[in-house]
Amino acid sequence: MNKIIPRLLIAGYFSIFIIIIVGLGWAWHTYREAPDQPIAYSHNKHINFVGLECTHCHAYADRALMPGIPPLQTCMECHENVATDRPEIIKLTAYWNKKEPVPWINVNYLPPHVYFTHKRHVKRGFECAECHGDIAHMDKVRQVKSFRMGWCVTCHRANNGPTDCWTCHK
Amino acid sequence: MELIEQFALVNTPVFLKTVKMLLAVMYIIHLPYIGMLLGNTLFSLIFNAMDKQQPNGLHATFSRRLIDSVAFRKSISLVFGVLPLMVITLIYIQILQSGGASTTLFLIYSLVPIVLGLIAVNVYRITFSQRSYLSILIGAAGIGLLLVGYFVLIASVARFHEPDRWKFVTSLTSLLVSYNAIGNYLTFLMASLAISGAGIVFFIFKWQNDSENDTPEFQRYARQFGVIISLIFTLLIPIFLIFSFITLPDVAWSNSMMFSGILVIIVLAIISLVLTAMLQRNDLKYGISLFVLFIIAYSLLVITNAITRENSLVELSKTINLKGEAMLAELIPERGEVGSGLTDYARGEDIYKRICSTCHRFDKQIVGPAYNTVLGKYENDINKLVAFVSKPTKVNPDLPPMPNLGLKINDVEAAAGYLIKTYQEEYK
Ligand code: HEC
Ligand code: HEC
Ligand code: HEC
Ligand code: HEC
Ligand code: HEC
Ligand code: HEC
Repeated sequence: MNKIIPRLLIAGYFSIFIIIIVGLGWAWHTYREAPDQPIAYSHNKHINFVGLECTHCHAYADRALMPGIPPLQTCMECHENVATDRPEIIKLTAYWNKKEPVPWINVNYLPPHVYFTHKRHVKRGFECAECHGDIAHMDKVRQVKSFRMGWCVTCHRANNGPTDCWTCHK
Repeated sequence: MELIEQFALVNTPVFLKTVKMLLAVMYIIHLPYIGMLLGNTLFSLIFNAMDKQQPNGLHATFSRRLIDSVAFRKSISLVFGVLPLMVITLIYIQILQSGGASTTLFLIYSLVPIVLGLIAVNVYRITFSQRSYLSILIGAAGIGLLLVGYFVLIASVARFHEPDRWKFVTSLTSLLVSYNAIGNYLTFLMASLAISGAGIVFFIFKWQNDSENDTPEFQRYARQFGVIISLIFTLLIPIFLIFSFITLPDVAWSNSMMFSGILVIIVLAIISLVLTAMLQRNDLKYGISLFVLFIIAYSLLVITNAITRENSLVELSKTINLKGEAMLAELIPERGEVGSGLTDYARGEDIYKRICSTCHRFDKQIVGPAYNTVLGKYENDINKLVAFVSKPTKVNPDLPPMPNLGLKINDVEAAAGYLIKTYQEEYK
């Protein structure tokens, strides 16, 4: 009796931490892990092997709020002929034939109450990598920065950007 | 910074992997040792001071035995203390190249207080017999230096997990303001005190030859102290471990990191169970297994840490691997006799179909230009074509650059021979 209770207490105590870790892992898996995209498109391959520029696909980076995800048209310029026998490209062609857009899963996003524009930041000369990490070497896009308010404001302070609330909350 | 780059060698993937294994081994050697050194010195100082205030034979003996362990002699503190630290720093420089230059600098700075601290602790050990206040003061200074040094060290290592913040680490304060660094540091301190408690039980009675002369009273006192200290701090470790997990950047997480974190907790639970059993039975039977369990816990902690580092730095590692491969390709000459592949048309056709045809056709432009529009200029100079494909240069500004395909020279020759032949026979 006297010996069992301390052991049970210890087992219980450490189980709490295991449960916390599993919980954290679950939350991370649900909200933070780089998602599997419907088509295993790899930036690494298209940038470093094929040799494309970011703006070949994200054409509006220096012109609009959002750089845009490329339409299927852009992929088919090449993939009508390139690597057409590979399973991923067969999937891609199926979307194209059905005239359906690929349901890409959005990785980097802000809550709707925040106003953000790529144009100003890209024009100012910030590299994509500054905010998105080394996309050029990613096989699967993942969010690298926190995208919290503190992150935006830290950089604004360091670079004389605006820090009034209304610049970001309209 | 340039100085740091000069130290770095060529990173080939295999070399890099070996170096990272070495890093883990160095940590597993160094951390338990330094933990015991810190803990034992601290407890020795406390008992020493207590004895000074109110003389007590038991405290005096215990204080001496804590610091007098063979393990803290100069030569051993070189092998387990300073040497692994040097290797660890060099390895980080190697892994990161210039990528995290400012963080590597902080790592180098941290060596100064650590080495001074080790020296001070050694002075305390040597001057112990004088029992002077000066000696205690030097020992306390040593502890202080070590605490500062390891904080800087752990904070800069924690920074490696957040490459996106490297740019902002320009001063010591911005280095210190990371919750993750604080979490890791406190975990390190708790683990240090816990393993030195276990070390007291294990080393004092097993390895020191004058243990036969110990009074049973002293033995009981030291054993109780070791077990209780070890238990308290083992119970505290997971709190800070969880804190450091919560404060990790998202990119550092992965399932395998979570799994090894859970293993750490399980080993800590087993350690606590062993410790309570020792407390209840009042024997030393488990001394060795306890110590082995601690080494396992440390190893798992180091592995967890390595996994988080790899997760954060995948893209960086990829870049470094590519750089290394390219450098290696230049160092090692290609096999095969130059010119021997030119007429191997079957092989050429195979290479065209497997490799070139993803981007090229003879009659239309895909990613690269249609061959019938570009091969004309190479028709009479096949070596120029071989040279282009082996090391492509920018030609047409409207097209993306052609990548270096990394083919063997004979394969390039075979492809070139096949292309020119097909061009002349069918498309000219
Ligand atoms: C061949 C076309 C192509 C090129 C070139 C390209 N991308 Fe993309 N990019 C895509 C597609 C398709 C997606 C959506 C699928 C995905 O997330 O993997 C995407 C997604 C992204 C996302 C994530 C969007 C989100 O959901 O948050 C970022 C950020 C991004 N790209 C940045 C870049 C950068 C930086 C470069 C240049 C280094 C680049 N891209 C080059 C096609 C391209
Ligand atoms: C400039 C031409 C070009 C464009 C535009 C392009 N790709 Fe590719 N893509 C290639 C080439 C070349 C390869 C073949 C690389 C290889 O041989 O492995 C490839 C390979 C792939 C693969 C890997 C096939 C496999 O299983 O090995 C996928 C998936 C893919 N592309 C998807 C896309 C998507 C989606 C888009 C549109 C956002 C796109 N590509 C746009 C040239 C292009
Ligand atoms: C100053 C930081 C910053 C820079 C620089 C930056 N981005 Fe972004 N990017 C963001 C943020 C923030 C979002 C999320 C925006 C949102 O959801 O409102 C985002 C979203 C995206 C998306 C997803 C868009 C969508 O429609 O879902 C793509 C693609 C993208 N960025 C590409 C790029 C490319 C390409 C560049 C380089 C030319 C670039 N970004 C430069 C911060 C940046
Ligand atoms: C890498 C540094 C950096 C980061 C990160 C950054 N910004 Fe900026 N931002 C700037 C700078 C610099 C300016 C000023 C640009 C100028 O004056 O041309 C700016 C300007 C702006 C503007 C003013 C644009 C306008 O039209 O007036 C908004 C809005 C803005 N940023 C929102 C954000 C938000 C929201 C985030 C976080 C999601 C963010 N920024 C992250 C550097 C950054
Ligand atoms: C540079 C851009 C920027 C500026 C300036 C800025 N914010 Fe934000 N704010 C953000 C972003 C991005 C988020 C969403 C991410 C998050 O929750 O941290 C946010 C979120 C918030 C939220 C919601 C927090 C939550 O947890 O959901 C509040 C409230 C807020 N901001 C208030 C303010 C106030 C008040 C100011 C002026 C002092 C201000 N913001 C200035 C970018 C900005
Ligand atoms: C990933 C796509 C890709 C692959 C694979 C590829 N190329 Fe190319 N190639 C290109 C591109 C893009 C260009 C245009 C380069 C330029 O104009 O700067 C090109 C150009 C060329 C040219 C014309 C050079 C000139 O002087 O205009 C030749 C010849 C050529 N490639 C041969 C080959 C051969 C042989 C192979 C196979 C061993 C091959 N390529 C594989 C993309 C590729």
